[in-house]
Amino acid sequence: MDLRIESKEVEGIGVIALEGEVDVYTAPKLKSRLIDLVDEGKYDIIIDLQKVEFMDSSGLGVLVGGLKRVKSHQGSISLVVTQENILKIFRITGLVKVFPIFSSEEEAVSNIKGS
Amino acid sequence: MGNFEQPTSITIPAKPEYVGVARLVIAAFAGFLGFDNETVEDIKIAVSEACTSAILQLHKEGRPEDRSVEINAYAEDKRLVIDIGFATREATSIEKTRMHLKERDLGMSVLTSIMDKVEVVRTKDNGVILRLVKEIPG
Repeated sequence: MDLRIESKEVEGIGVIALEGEVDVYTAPKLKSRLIDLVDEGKYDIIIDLQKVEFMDSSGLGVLVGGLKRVKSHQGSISLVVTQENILKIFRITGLVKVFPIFSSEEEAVSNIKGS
Repeated sequence: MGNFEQPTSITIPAKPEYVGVARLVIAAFAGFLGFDNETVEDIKIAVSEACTSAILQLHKEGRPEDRSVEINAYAEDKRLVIDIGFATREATSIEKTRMHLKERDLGMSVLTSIMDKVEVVRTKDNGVILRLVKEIPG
């Protein structure tokens, strides 16, 4: 199964919505979209994972790489995750302490705007 | 339900696009053994991690297009055993495999958290097997 990536802008924040599976095959597609966003000057990014059915460490690696990239511009990556199976992999790896995780895009936006 | 002691096997080309095929086949097998949905999802992740490690190592060794990864899953002593095997060209590959797994620390922490046992085994024909073990419920 492939990974579909949709991008939009909400109040100046880059929002990426993913749908499908993130693994060693599809993760490079996400990496290149994140690099494009940073190149476009978007340093606060929200990644909506609510329609992701599967993710392994290849996907996590890309998210961590993206975080390093935006942090060098004082930016941030916030995640929207509601599925227990996806949250679990963030818990196992301790990445729940690295990424702010929200249950909706609106929550993530207001957190960034409020900070 | 049968005892499923004979291995169910799938061989995939050492290409990233085939990892999804392997994890679906092994997940279906795990479902037959009585694992609940949450554990089947965990097993899918473990198979994905191990196949990814194997494929990345083969890519490092070169000419990945004519290499393959063989996955065997079977039940043994109330445990699900998943062997992810690949032929290597260097006698020291078992150490390289261990080092490579350590380098992929995110993947390794996922693997060891999900499975009851993870080990690297050398085969007599200079191949390497990543062996994943999970207790069968009940």
